[in-house]
Amino acid sequence: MNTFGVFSSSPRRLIGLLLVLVVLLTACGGVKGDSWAGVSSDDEYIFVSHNERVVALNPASGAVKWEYPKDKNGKFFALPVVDNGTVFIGDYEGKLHAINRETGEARWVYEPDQGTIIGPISTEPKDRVISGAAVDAERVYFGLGSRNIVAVSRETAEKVWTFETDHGVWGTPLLIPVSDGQNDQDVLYVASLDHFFYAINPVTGKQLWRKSLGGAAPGNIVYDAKRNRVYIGTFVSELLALDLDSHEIVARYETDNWLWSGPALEDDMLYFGDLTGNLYAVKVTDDGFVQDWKRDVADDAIRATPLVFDDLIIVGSKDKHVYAVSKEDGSEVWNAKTDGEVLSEIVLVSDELEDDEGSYNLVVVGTSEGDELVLALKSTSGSEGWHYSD
Amino acid sequence: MLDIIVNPFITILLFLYQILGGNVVLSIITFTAMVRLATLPLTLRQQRSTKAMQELQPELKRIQEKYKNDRERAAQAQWELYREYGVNPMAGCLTLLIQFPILIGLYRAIVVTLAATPLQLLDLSGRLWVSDLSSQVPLANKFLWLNLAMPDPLYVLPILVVATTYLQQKLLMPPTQPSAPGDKQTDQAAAMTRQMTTIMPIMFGIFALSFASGLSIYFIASNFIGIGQYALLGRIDIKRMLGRGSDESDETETTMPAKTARKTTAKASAISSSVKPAKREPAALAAPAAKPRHKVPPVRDANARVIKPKRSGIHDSRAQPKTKG
Repeated sequence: MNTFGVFSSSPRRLIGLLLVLVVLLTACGGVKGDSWAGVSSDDEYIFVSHNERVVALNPASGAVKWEYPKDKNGKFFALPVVDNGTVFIGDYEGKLHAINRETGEARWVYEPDQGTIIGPISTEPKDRVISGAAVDAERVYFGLGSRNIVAVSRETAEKVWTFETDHGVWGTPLLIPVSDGQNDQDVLYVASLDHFFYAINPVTGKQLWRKSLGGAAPGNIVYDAKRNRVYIGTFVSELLALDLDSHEIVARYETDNWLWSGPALEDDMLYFGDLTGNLYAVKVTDDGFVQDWKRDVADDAIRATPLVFDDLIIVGSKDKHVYAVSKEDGSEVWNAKTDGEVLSEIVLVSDELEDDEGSYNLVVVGTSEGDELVLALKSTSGSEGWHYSD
Repeated sequence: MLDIIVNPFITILLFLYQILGGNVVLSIITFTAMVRLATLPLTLRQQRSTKAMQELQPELKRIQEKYKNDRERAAQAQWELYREYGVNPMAGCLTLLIQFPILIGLYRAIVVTLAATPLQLLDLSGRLWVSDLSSQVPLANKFLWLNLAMPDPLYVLPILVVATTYLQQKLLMPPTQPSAPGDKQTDQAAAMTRQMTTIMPIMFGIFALSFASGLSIYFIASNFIGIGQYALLGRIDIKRMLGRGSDESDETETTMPAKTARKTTAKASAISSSVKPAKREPAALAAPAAKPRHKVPPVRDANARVIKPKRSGIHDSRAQPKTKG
C-alpha cells in the first residue's frame, strides 16, 4: 500500500506515521504476553510457571522455595507436572526441562533438533510447549504448540519418537492403562487443535485409532474410569463423551459458547464453564447427558476446569473474579475481585489452616497481573490468604 | 474500537478459508486482494492529493518567501492557492486515516485466526459473526516448509518482504521536485524520501523475522497486489525506479494513458508558442526558474495537468487554450 507517498512532502508526519505503525504492529503481535500462568500442586508445594521462570511456593504462606532457571532467561507458560520428585515443564523454545522438585536444579533439559543449516537458518522453526506433560516410568510425553507430540526418554532426555498431528496439542496428554484380557498396557490419549482425538501406543508412537471431534479441542481430557469414557470440550460448543472401547462419541451436550477445558467430574456430575461465562452442571447417565443446572456466573470467559470442593464449585474468569457457587443449584456463595484475569488452573491446598474465623482451606489461582500473579483465597469466604508477586 | 473492523475481517477470512478448501495462504492472498480492491478509490485519491501537493510546492515556497515576515498573509495566500487549484492539503491524511485501521484490522485478523498462542486463541472467541465458522478454528498452519504461526526458519519470506516492499516503495514513491540551489527544504524532503525507501523495507523485514510467517505472506501479497494495481493503472514510473530520474515529460507519459498523452503533446506545442503561462500557474508547471535538467524544456499543457482550478467561474487558460482565429 503506498500509504507513504502522502507524507513525502512532510518528513515529520512521515516519521510520525512510522512510529504509529511500529507501535500498533508491535502491540498487535504480542498482547499482554502469550499465555497465563501455569499453576499446579502436590502435597508440599505450589508450582507456578510464568514467563521467564518457574517457582515453587510454600502453599500455606506463599514463600518462595526455589526459582528456575537462576538466570531467568526462559519462557514458560506450560503446566508444571510433578512425578516422583521431578517437575517436568516445557518452554516456548520447544525444550523440556526436568527439575529437581526439592532444589529447583535442572536434572536435564531436552532440546529439539532444529535442523540447523548455517547460523540461525534452520529447517524447523522453534516450536512452543503449551501443554503439560504425561509421565510414565520410561518416557515423558508432551504436545507442541503448532503440531506433533513428542516422547522423550525419562533417563537420557533423548527423543524416542514424534507423532505427527496437523495442528497443535495444547492439552495435557493422558495415559490410561488398558487391558486386553491378558495384559495391561498403557494407551496415550491426546486431543488436538486439528479436531482429532488420538489413541497412541506410548512405546512405539504409532497411532492405534483416532476420532474426529468436529472442532478444535485445546483443553485437558477428563477420564471417567467407571464408564471407560473421556470427556472433552470443543470449539464447536460441545461437551463430548467418547467411549474408549467402541471409539465412538456416545453423548453430546451443546453449550452457548466454546469450551476450552474439560469438565470437573464428581459423582456422575460434570461441572464446566464456557467462554461467555456460563457454568454448567450436567449429570452423566448411560443414556447421555442430562442438564442439572446452568448459571450465567461470570461476565467473561471461564477457561479452566472448575475446582469442586465440599459443596462449592470454584471458577476463575477473564472478568477478573473468582466465583464460588453452590454445587446444588449454582447460586453464588462468594466472589473475590482480582487485579488480573483468572485463566489459569485452580488448585486446592489440602492442608486445613486456621485463623480467628475458624478453619479453612486455600484455593490458589494465577492471574494476569504481575503484582498478584498467584493469589491464595480462603475457601470459606474468598478473602485473601496470601499473594505472590512476579 | 478496532473490533468493528477486526471481527468482520475474521469472519470473512474464515469464510474464505472454508470455501477455498482450507488453504490458508490462498485465503490470505484472496482476502488481501479484496481489501486492496475495496480501498483502491481511497488509494487513488490519496495519490492524486499527494501529487497535487507536490506540484504546488514551488508555488508554496514562493509564497513563503514572499511573506516570510508575515505568517498570516502567507497562510492566507496558501489557502487561496489551495482553493484555486481545488487541493485539500488534508485529503491525503484523511484518506490515510481511513486506510490505516483497515490495514491494522487485516493484520490483526490474520494474527488472531492463526492463533499461535493461547491468548490469541482466547481472543478469537466471541469474534465470529457466524457461529458455524467455529469448526474452521484455528486455521491450519502448515504450508510448504512453513509453520505459518511461526517465523520462517529459512529466512526466505523476510527476504521477499524486504525485496517487494523496496520495489513497491521505489515504484510508487512520488518524485520530489528538483531543488533550486540552496533550497534546503526540498533537499530535506528528497533525502527523507530516499531514507524511507530504505527504512520501510528494513522495518517490515524485521517484522517478518519475528512475527508469524502468515503475516509475511500478507505483506508480500499486499506488495505484489499494490504493484499490480498501479501497473494496471499505468502509474508506475519505471525510469525513476531504474535510477534514471524522472523528468516532467516522463511523468506525463507514465501517468497518462497513451492516447491522452499524444493529444496533450500536440496541444502543448500550440500553447507554448501562443499562450503565456498563466499568472497563477504553479511554478513547477511553468518554465522552471532553476536551470532545467532536461534537454527539451518541459511543455506543461492543460490536459496533462493534474491540478485544475475548481472554483466556479475561474477560467484556466491552460485547460482551454485559445486558438488563433
